[in-house]
Amino acid sequence: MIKSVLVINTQGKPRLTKFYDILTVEKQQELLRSVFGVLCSRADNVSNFVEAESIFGPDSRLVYKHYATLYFVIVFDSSENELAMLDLIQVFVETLDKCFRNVSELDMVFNYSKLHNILDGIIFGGQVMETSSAEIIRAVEEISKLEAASNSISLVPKTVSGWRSR
Amino acid sequence: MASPSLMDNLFQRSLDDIIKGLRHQQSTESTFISKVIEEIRREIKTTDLQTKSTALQKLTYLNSIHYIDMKDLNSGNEFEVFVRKKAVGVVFRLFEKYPDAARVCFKRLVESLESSDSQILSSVVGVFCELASKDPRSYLPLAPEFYRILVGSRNNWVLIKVLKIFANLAPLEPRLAKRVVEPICDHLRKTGAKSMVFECIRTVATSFTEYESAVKLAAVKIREFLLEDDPNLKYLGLHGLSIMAPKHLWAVLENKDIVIQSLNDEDLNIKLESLCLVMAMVSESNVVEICRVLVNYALKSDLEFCNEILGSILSTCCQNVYEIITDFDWYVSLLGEMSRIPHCQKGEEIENQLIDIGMRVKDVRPELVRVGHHLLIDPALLGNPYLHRMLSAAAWVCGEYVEFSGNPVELLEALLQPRTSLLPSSIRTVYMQSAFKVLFFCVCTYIEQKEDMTLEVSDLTSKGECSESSDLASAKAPVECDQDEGFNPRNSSQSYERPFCC
Repeated sequence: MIKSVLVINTQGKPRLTKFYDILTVEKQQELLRSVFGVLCSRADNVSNFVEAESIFGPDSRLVYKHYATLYFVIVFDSSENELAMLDLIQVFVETLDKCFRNVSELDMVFNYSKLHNILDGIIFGGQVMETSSAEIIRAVEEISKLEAASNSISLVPKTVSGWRSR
Repeated sequence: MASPSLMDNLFQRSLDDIIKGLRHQQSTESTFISKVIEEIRREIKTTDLQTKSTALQKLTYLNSIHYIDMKDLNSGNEFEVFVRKKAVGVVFRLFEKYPDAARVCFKRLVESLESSDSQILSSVVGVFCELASKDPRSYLPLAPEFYRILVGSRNNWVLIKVLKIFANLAPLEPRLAKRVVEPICDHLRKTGAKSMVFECIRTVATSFTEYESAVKLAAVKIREFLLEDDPNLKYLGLHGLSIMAPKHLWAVLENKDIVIQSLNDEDLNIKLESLCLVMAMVSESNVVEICRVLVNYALKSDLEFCNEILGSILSTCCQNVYEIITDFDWYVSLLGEMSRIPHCQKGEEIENQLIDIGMRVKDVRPELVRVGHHLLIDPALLGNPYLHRMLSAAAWVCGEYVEFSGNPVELLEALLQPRTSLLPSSIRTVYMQSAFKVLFFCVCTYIEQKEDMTLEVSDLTSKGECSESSDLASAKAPVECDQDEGFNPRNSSQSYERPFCC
């Protein structure tokens, strides 16, 4: 199973943190710091695999990819294949790219819920759900339609930003 | 309480508002967050679904990006309403907590194995993969189903999971292994996907090690990975070799040149994998050569890798009470050499081995004292805190076996040099005790030498003038005895011992 999906920027700020095990907030922070510590010392043309047992415990492997200002990280155990996980990062980023048109770090900051919808479309409960970006985008668009539909029912906007945009 | 909730609903901040607000508030972030949490606490109790869901969204954001602990705000089962359940994914987590549930849902899961929808099949096979890794025997009866998928499916995600399942099932049932090995080799030969190739290699190397042709095929594919430029494939090739190493060391030896070359790679992980492989190749006949190569690499490496190398050498050589060492003189001098490597931080382990070897192997004590002596006289080593434990061992060994020392006076000076003030007091204690031992040895040696010298002198004199000295001796002796008997040198001398004559 997949233990964790993380997106951290090159300054160490987390942009997405998903842990598929129950962990305390302190433990999560500690893991994030350790992972960032290892990643920022990696050169650019080396392998995408990093030893993870010292951070996440036995039977843990870590694969990461560096895109612009972000590190995309997946932590998994022996039930997953290393190259397949690397592929999955690619799928995630491609899907983001299609959803946001040349996705940047700011898109990830301001679209927290859509980001999570996309991730949940790919990985759910630590298991890989879908590996085709077209399918995932279809599912995410369905959800957005539903959300938009439920929002349009109210006559008065419920949010300050909705109020102001009127 | 209608009016407060109306106000809350009208002016509820959305998640976007929170994010924008936080980005503006650089310095007062924590007060802003506390305010937001107070609002969420109120909002989450409303009956209005829209308000509640926005509140939950904000809370989830704060929890994951700003590490706000959710437990204080947990209002119980209201959360379940908003969680999307994807049937198979949830079912697996359920099985983890309540294994009995697996039996209940088993039939449904097995039916899903027949599904033509690749996504459902992928999920179900994923669940079985996890379950089979924890309790393989219970899933052995499903082997025919998995076999059908192994030979029929074209979906690599599904095939990888099925391979992992067979890696767990095959060791339990040799007849199953026999049936399955051929389709696996088939995939290994034909597949274009590197992930499939690697998974096949791993499956064969883990659970089909008795099938020579399969192992040979896997070894060929591993070599292909090793020769690639892509560092990921190189790393996986080395990893594959280390899985093969325990039962098929020949595959590692075949690729010896690439493995040793990889010690120089830029990628630390590749270096570490090759180091493990090099240690796997060590035997009685080649330990000297390999250690020489490794120490040379250690000298050229950075701090971390240097100590990884030294640590590996130390742990491999001391396995099974130094099983692979035949020449202890060489090994002890190697230990001394390792101590002098600038990055060395393995003082404690070297200390343990020096003392251990000294106690077990009598013949090596002279060499041990020689090496210890060299380490003690070097004032530079006293300044390196990582080496203090090793110096303690050197001091102890030199004190304990000082009789083998060629130059005990120089040793004593080394033990008493002023720079020893840099050592912690526990180690200075050892230095002092050893200094006493050396001093005592020196004094005893001096006295013995004196005795021998006087013995030699008297030998010379007694041979030439034996009678004279005997008269002299006997002349003295009667003075001490009873004088009433009268003085008769000739007679009385015969009854007394002549200490200085032989």
